[in-house]
Formats: sequence, structure tokens, C-alpha cells
Amino acid sequence: MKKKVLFPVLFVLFLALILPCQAQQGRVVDGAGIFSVQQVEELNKRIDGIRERYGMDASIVTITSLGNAYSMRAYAENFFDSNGLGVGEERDGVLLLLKMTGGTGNRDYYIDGHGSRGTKVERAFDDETFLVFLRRNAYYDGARAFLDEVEARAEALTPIGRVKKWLPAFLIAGALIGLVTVLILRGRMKTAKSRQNAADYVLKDSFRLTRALDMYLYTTTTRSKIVENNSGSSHRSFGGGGGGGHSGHGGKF
Amino acid sequence: MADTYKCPGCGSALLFDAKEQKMKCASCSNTYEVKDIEQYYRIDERLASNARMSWESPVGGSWSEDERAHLRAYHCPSCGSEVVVEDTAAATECVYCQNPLVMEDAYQGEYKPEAVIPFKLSLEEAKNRYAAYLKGKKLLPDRFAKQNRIERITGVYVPFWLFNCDTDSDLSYKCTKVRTYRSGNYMVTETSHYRVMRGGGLSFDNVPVDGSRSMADNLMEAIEPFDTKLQEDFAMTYLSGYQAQRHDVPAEQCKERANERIRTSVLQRFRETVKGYATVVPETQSVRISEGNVREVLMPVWMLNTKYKNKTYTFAMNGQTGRFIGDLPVSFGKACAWFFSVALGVTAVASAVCYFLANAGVI
Repeated sequence: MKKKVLFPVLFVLFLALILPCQAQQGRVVDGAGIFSVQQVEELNKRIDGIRERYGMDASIVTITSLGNAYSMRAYAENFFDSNGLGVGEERDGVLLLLKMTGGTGNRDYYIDGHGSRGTKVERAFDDETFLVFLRRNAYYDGARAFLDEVEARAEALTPIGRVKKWLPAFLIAGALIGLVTVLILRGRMKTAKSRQNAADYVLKDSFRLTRALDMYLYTTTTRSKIVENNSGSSHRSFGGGGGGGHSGHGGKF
Repeated sequence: MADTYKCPGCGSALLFDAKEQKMKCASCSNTYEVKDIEQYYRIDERLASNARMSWESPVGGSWSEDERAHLRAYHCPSCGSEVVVEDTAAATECVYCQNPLVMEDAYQGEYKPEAVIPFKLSLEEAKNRYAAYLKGKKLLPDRFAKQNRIERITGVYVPFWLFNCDTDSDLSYKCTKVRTYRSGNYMVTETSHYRVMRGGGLSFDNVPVDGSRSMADNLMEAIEPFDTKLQEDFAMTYLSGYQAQRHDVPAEQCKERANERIRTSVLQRFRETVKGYATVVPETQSVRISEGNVREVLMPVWMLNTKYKNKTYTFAMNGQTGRFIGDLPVSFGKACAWFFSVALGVTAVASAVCYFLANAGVI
């Protein structure tokens, strides 16, 4: 009887030891244990798809402490580099680091971008798309929203994505040029127009400027304060050059 | 009195030939100098003066007062038929035998023009210019282009008043100069205000205003300019073979339009002298037009009419320079096709360029 009870308990303990190890594989590293095994698998599948379609890596890392790292940025960059993340020559990729300690509003997140395209994706990121879920502790939905955003930004960087982005502007420009063309062509159909002046009949050399005076009256002065552009967010940092470095930003949720 | 200039050789009608600038017989093709025919007919008139019938009184008594005031009846010297014309008509053709008629009494007294600019371009040239005018008109309805049938084409001598005058003007403008510079954390904009005055004269020579009510003013202005240096002293012989009108808008009424155009030119010319300012707002504009002289000159105009969808389209061609003017119908379908073709074409090209540049990593 004891053997009968012990076996399932041992099996469950074995699974408990094995599963975190499985979670460590792939691009989703759930150190804080906020995703189920199935969710991790789903997220990894999504990431594989993104890697394949857009040549862009994505990774989600959850932790409970920074360990030896002195900042979220240092942890994220180190994790990205030491785990060989990134796709292509420039190792393009984006990493989301979540530190799950501190309770709602005090938990940290950091998004690290690498490579020229990874950096562009990171800089264009709309954090609110996934933070709304994370604040409600809907972690899986938040992770999916993060990957949605990665996918959308990566799509925008593809040639087709660029065309899609500019298509409304191209259509408006095309419509305007079309309208101007039609108006010009229509103008050529209507030539019976009155003359506005008698310029054709000015007697040659008859213009005499006999009175000319430029009288200064007064000066008015207006001053406007120059507003320096300090829009660069204090929690955004960009490292490296030539598209090969890291860039990132973060905050609390 | 309606006259037909007849060929001294064969007796057929003589017409003014625009190409040769001579009187030409329609039948035997003999040509005569205008002044020779004038002289020939002056002698003829003197000899026949006692035997001539007077046609100045209207024939028949059934016309209303209004008709009497605006119509005249003449007898064609060729076929004897009665030809009724508007009282402004000075030259026409017999509706029965197509014989050219010149109403010698039309230009008597105040109606006599000082000069005439003879036709330089022929009927054939007018037709060719019309065909050329239709070419390249992308929005022209296909049916209109295919029909290409001129309902009526007439060479008309149109009476124009030519105004010569000097102007003396005084104009003032409110002007500003703007200087912008940075001072510490501030952008400073200094606006200096000026009052600018200009004065002087400008002269005009032969500003034309058409003196015919039946001619559309916009058409007559659009076919300008005429080269008045090539004008000839007025002679009725130039009118043979063409329609001609005497003025029915007096010079006094046309003066307003001439002044309007002259004033605009004066303002534009003096405005060009106000330079170096960021803004220029006209204030006082006094343009004094001193009384110059006004002359009446007959100008050569080819008038063409065509019908499309029950609407008459009128075109005018300067009979001296060949400038062709007239409004054409617009095909809505073609306008739409052009709009969408250009709009979609531009979008496609821009998208392709964008794709190419994105693919090359330029953007």
C-alpha cells in the first residue's frame, strides 16, 4: 500500500524537477514560475514562428532576483549575449525581462533589443499593449501580447510592412496628383478666358518711376522661449554602435 | 445700299483673298490690288450716280417697330432677291445665291472705322487650326472628336475700340521687414514697419475692347493680341467675302473695361518696384488715366460653331495670328479614368520604390 502511494508521489516530484528544466529550454525561461508548461510550449512555438517569418528572435525571461547583476539592463543584456540569442549576422532580437518580486506596481520589466532591427523593434515598442495584462497578473496573455507587438513591429520592418505603413500616404498623394492632373487637363479644354490686364499693350520704355520713398515707421519685437527637446526617456538606454549593440528600456508594472 | 464688287474681267464676284492680300475673282481667278478696285468702283459710282436706286428705306410695310429699328433690307445686285440683315451688319452674303454683299451705307458717319486689319489666314487654315486644336485634348468625348463637324464657319470683321493713353499714378504700401535671432533661451522676432510710396507714369498703346454686343467678350479678349502695326486704312473692299459688323457698343461704354485692364497693369508694374520686404500690403492706389485717343478698327476673326448634345460650342480664331480659342465639352468618364489611372499608378510606383528601398536596406 505504501508502495502504491509512494510511486505517484515520487513520479510527481520527478516531474516537478524535470519540468523547470524543460522550461529552461527554448526562448521562454520562466524562472519565476508564472507560466504553465503548456503555456511555455505555446509561447516557444510562437517565437519559433516569428524567428522563421521575420528573422527576428524573441525571448521572455522571468526572474525573482537579479542575482549578481546590478540592474535589469545588465541582467537582460548579459542573458541575451551569454545565451546566444538573436538571428542573423547582427543577431537581431528582442528580450522581455520580468522581475516578479515587489507586488503590483513595484515589479520591474525591461525590454532589450539587439541588432539594427531588434533595436528598431524595441524603440518602436508600445509597452502598454502587454503591461495592461501583466498588471492584472494575466501573465500568459501579457506574454502573448508582447509577442504580438514583436510580430507587428517586425512585420513593419519587412519590405511589405514598409509598403503597408506608407500605403495610405501613397494613396492620398496619388489621389492628389490624379486630381491635379484632371484639373490641368480640364483647364486645357476651357481656353475662352478674359484678359486680366493690358500688359501686351504697354508702350515700350514708357515706364517712369518719378516718385519713390521708403519711410521707416517703427519696430515691434516679440520673444518666445525656446523649449529644449528633452523627450528622451530617462529609462531608455542605447548601447553599442553600427547596429550591433543593445538598446533597451523598462519600468515598473 | 448693298454692293458686290464684281470682276472687271468676267463680272463674277470679287472676294478678298487672305493669302494674297488682293481681291480675287471667284470665277476667272484674276487678282486685283485693293486700291485699284476701290478706284475702279469710285469711277463707276460717279458715272452711275444718277441712275442708282436708293435702297436705304425698308422695303415692305409689315415690319414691327422693333424690327424696323434692328433690321434692314437690301436687294442682292446679283440675283435681285431681298436680303434682310441686322442693322449692325456691314458685310454678308446673299442667302439665295451666296453672292458677297457689302453694305456701303453701314459705315457712314460715326460708324466709319479708322482702319482695318485684313484677314491673313484663310478658311482652310481656320479648319486646320480647329482640327489641330482638338488634338491632344485628353478629356474630349470620343463622339465629339469623331463627329468633328463644323456647323458653321464665318470670317467676321469685328469692330474694336483701341484706347491709347498715358497714366500718372501714386501708390502707397504698408510693408514689413522681419529679422529673427536667438538671444539666450529666447527667439526674438523684430518686425520693422515701413510706409512705401511710388509714383510715376506708364503709357498704353491700342488697348482693344470689342464694340460688338453679339461677340462674347471673353472670346474676343482671349484671341488677343492683334498686331495693329499691320493695319490698313479702312476700305470696304477688304470686307468682300466676309461678314462684317459695325459697332453697337459706343466707345464711352467700352472705356470702363479698358480702364480696368490698364489699372491692373499699372498696379502690377509699380508693385514690381517694391522689393526687399517680407510683406507688402497695398494702401492707397490712385491711377489717373489721362484722356488719350480712341480709334475704331475692324479686326479679323474666324468664328466656328459646332453642336454636341444639343449645345452649341463657339470657337474663335484670330484671323491675323491664328490664335485659336474655345471651350470644349469634358467627358466625365474620361476624367474619372484619368483620375483613377494616375492615382493608382502613382500609388503603385511609390509602393514599388518603397519596397525596393526597404529590400535594399536603405529605409
